[in-house]
Amino acid sequence: MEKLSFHIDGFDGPLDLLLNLISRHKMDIFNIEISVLLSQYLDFMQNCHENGFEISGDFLEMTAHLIYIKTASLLPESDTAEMLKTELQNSLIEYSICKSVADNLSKLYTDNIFTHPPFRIKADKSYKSIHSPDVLADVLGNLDLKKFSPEITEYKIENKINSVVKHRIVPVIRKVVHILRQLYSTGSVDIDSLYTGINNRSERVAVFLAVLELTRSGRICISDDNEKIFMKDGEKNWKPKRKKLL
Amino acid sequence: MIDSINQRYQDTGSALCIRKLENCYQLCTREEFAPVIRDALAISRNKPLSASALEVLAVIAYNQPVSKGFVEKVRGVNSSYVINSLIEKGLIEEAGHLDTPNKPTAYRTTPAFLRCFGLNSLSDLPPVENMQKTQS
Repeated sequence: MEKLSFHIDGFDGPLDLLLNLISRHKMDIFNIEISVLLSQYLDFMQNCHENGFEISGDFLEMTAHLIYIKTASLLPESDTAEMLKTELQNSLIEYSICKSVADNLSKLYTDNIFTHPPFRIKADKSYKSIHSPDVLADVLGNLDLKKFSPEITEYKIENKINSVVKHRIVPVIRKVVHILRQLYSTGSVDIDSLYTGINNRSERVAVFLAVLELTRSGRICISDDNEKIFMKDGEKNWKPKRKKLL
Repeated sequence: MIDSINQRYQDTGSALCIRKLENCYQLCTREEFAPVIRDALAISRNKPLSASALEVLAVIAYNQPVSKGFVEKVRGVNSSYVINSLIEKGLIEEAGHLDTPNKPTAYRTTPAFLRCFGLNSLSDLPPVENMQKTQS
C-alpha cells in the first residue's frame, strides 16, 4: 500500500522538521543531544495534535526512532545508541546538503528558453523518373491482347460491379402476376417474349421461376414445343398467394 | 562551427541560438525574447518548481543514476509523486536498472534539465559545499 504523506506546517518530512529544530535551538548537528532533540520533537508533535493536525506515519516513525535511540543510550555499555545516533546525524547532514544544493539550483532555474520538438518530415513517395512512351507500347505488344479484350474486360468489370452494387432481388410473385396479366389479355404468351427487355439476371431467374411455379400449381400449360404458355381452362379467379422462393 | 552560427544569429539580432547540452546541441530561443514569444504564442508560465521537486532534482542530478529508494532515504519522505511529476516535465528520465538486489529503476537528468538550469553539461553543476564542523 502506498504511504500517505502530508505536509505539517510546511515541513517536507521528519528530517526537515528535525533540521529546523536543530537550527532553531542552535544545536550542533555533529553532536546532537538526543534527549533535548527528542523532547522538542515530542513538544512539536503534541502541539500539532492539539491543533487538530493529522500526523502522518513518517513523523510517528521518527518519534518512535528517537525514543528508541534515547532508551538505548540509557542502557549501560551499549554501542547501539551511539551507532544509531551517528546514523541519524549522517542522514540529517546529508539532507541539509541536499537542501542547500536545491537552493543553489533554484537560483539557476529559468523557463525563458523555448524549443520545438523535431518536425516529422513526410517521405516524398511521388514517382520522379521519366520514361519514353515507347516503353508502354513495347510492353503492350508483349501482352496477349485477346485475353484482355476491352469488351470482355468491360463485361467482367461491370458484372462484378453489378453483382455487388446493383444486386436487386426481384420477387417471383411480381413476375407471376405479370405473366398472368398477359395471359388474361391474350390467352397465350410466347415464352421468349417474357424475357424481352430484361438485362438483369435476377429478373430472368424470377421469370423462369414464375413460369415453373405456375406450371406446378396447374394454372398454366406449356406447349409441346416449349414455345408458348396457355391459361388453363377454368382459371378465372386467381388470387396471388405468397410463395417461398426456391 | 556552432560558434560561428551563434555569432551570426547574434549579429543579425535573431531570436535563435544553439545551446550545447552535454553531448548534443539544441536550437533554442534566446532568453531576452521570452516575453515577446510568450505573448505571441500565448504560452502561460510554468508553475515554478516546488522545494520538494528541487530537492529530488538535486539528489538525482548530483548522484545519477540513482534509485527512488535512495532519494527517499536522503529526504526521509515518499517521493513517488514528485519523481513522476518531474518525469512528466521532462526533467528526469528512467535509465535502466541498478545492479543491486531488487533491481530498482534508476533515474537520471535529461538534456532539458540542463537547458532549464542554463548548464552546458553536468560538470557545470555548482560544487557541493562541504559543511563545516561548526554549525553555520
